[in-house]
Parts: sequence; C-alpha cells; structure tokens
Amino acid sequence: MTCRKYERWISDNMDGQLSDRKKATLSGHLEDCASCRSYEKSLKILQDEAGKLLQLNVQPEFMKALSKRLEESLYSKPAARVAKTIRHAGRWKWAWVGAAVLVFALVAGGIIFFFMSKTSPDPWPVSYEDSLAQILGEIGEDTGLAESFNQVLQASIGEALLQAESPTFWEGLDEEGVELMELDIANGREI
Amino acid sequence: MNRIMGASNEGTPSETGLLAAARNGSREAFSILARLYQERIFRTILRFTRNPEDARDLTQETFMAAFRSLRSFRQGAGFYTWIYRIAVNSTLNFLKKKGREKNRTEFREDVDSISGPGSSPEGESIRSELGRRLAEAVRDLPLPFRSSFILVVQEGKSHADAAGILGCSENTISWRMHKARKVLQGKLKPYLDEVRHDVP
Repeated sequence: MTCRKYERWISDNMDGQLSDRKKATLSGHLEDCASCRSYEKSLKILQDEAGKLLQLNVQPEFMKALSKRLEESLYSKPAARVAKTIRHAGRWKWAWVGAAVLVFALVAGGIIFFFMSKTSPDPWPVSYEDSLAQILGEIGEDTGLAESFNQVLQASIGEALLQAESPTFWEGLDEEGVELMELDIANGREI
Repeated sequence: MNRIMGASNEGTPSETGLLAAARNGSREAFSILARLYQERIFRTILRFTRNPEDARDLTQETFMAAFRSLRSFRQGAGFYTWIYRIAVNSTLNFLKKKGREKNRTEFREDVDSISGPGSSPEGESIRSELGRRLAEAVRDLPLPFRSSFILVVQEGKSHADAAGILGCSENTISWRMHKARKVLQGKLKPYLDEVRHDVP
C-alpha cells in the first residue's frame, strides 16, 4: 500500500468517515512515515483555518433588512396568487376526481351500448316446424288454398335465394328452367 | 393564532403546526417558519457566494421557491433539511449560470470573517495571511470540489449528507475531499510550513 492511499485515509479520518479497522492501520503507518505525519499536520492546520473562515459576523441590520424583504415578497401579489392556488388545490383535486369518474362512466356506458347493439336478436319464439304444421292444419283438404300456399312458398324461397350472398340460383328454377340451363352448358354458353 | 399554528404545550408554535398551516396557504405561518431559518440559510448561501447581495437574493428566492412547492414537501423529511437542499441547489445553479467562480468580491464591512487568536503577534500575522490565502484557494477550486469542501468542512455535513445534497455517491465526496485538500495543501505549502514551525 502506498502513501497515496494513506493520504486519502487521512482526509477521510478528518471528516470522521474512517472505520476503526482503517484508523488502526493508519495510526500504525503514521508512526513509521514522517511524510504522512507532515501531511496530516498540514491538513489539520488547513482544517482549523477553514473553520475560522466560516465564523461570519453578519450585522443585525443586514438580517433585519433580509427579513423585511422576505416578508414583503411573501405578501406580494404573486405570493398571494400562490397562496390562493394552494388553498384551492384540495377543492380542485375533488373536482378532478369527479370529472374522472364521469368520463369513466360515459366511456363504460358507450362500450356497453356498442356491444349490446351488436348482439343478435332473440330467435323467433315459434319454430319453423310448428308454424308450418299450424298452416298445413289450417289448409287441410282445401286444394286451392294448398296451391296458393305453395306458390307463396316458392316465391319466397326464390326471393331468399336471389338475396343470398352466393345464391345457387338454379335451386329456385323449375324443371323447364333447369333444362334450358343444361342446354346452355352443353352449347358452351356462359351462365 | 395558536389555532392556526398548532401551538405546542409551551405556547410556542410547533414546526409541524406551522407547516400544516403553511401547506394550506397560510402566508403568516410560512413567514414564521422563514424567520426561524432565514439566518442559517443566508449564512450557508453566503459561504458559497461570498457575496452578501447575491446571498440575500438567493435566500429570498429559496424561501419563495419553497413556498411555491410547499405541497410537494413530504412531512417525513425535516423542513430545514428540505429548504437547505433547495438553498444549496439554487446557489449551485446560480454559480454555474453566472460563471462567478472567478473575480468574486471579498466580504464587505457588514459581513466579514473573524480571524482566530494566534499564539503570538507574529503567529497571528502568518495565520491571518494563511487564512486570506486559504479563502482565495477555496474560491478557486472547481465548483464540485468547492461545494463538497464547504458542505463537509464548513457546514459540518457527513459524506452521506453531502452526497445526498449534491446528488452523488459518498465515495465521490470522499475523493473530492481528498483532492481538494491535496490541492489546497499544495498551493499553501509555504504558508503551512511557516505556521507549522510556529505550532508546537
């Protein structure tokens, strides 16, 4: 270990920052090293003198003037505004909390409404089979009524097929229509 | 008044009560707090600036800055410690901005240094010269070294406290102190040798 290291220890020791173990090691070194002893003595003189520099004699009038200036600045208009802001800070905090709750409620309500509107409506309460059975029951033996119902049924199927996204339109054709289509295919025409 | 300040049993306003009132915007309470600490803060700033006018302005700025940010003050830390940090940081910023490390004016009549008693008239003269040279040498130290030296040697702060105020590690403070002392010792060696001969 060199004296440079001990010089730092001497400095730390003057600030009361050296551990007991290091203090003992340093003490042993100082006994043997005249150069470090001289360095420590110089630093002690410096420390004493630096301590005297800080004994500042401030005139009471100067402090009174400082006190007055501080008082004036504390009671100035800008300071009054600051004081007002501080006093109202609590109220503003609750206003912000209220506004945040309101915004949250509005956003949550909007999200719920959006998803509710996207859900599919309830299915038809009467099943297709039941309603068909009811109609057929009402038609009974009446052939005219049966024929009218068939026409209405076929027309609605045809309409549904045409409205479908990819209608397989030939399913709605009668025998004659299918024959015409087959003829077109056989002749190489585009359908 | 006692209701506002939360007077202690002795009838003197407690710091906690004053702080609570000040945090609610009471300028009266803050004014009392300022009066309690203004001299200590002024002296600390003066050690850095060595100019009473600058120190007075910075003291005023420090207390006004503290009043403005009083709501951010946490009760756990002492008020003096908090305001002390504001003062040191404002002063260091001021010194950095103004670049006033050099050509600083010495203490004026109303704020001056008191030299200590010498062992003899001759010793007094050597010591007084050493003190003057030391003041100059400290003034010429780079700001990080000077601020560490002032806080530790002149303000009596521990390395940990100085590190907390200056925002660096304890090891950095230790190193800066060692370097500052080394520089001062080197600069003042002739005077130190003379004084050493005078000291038993």
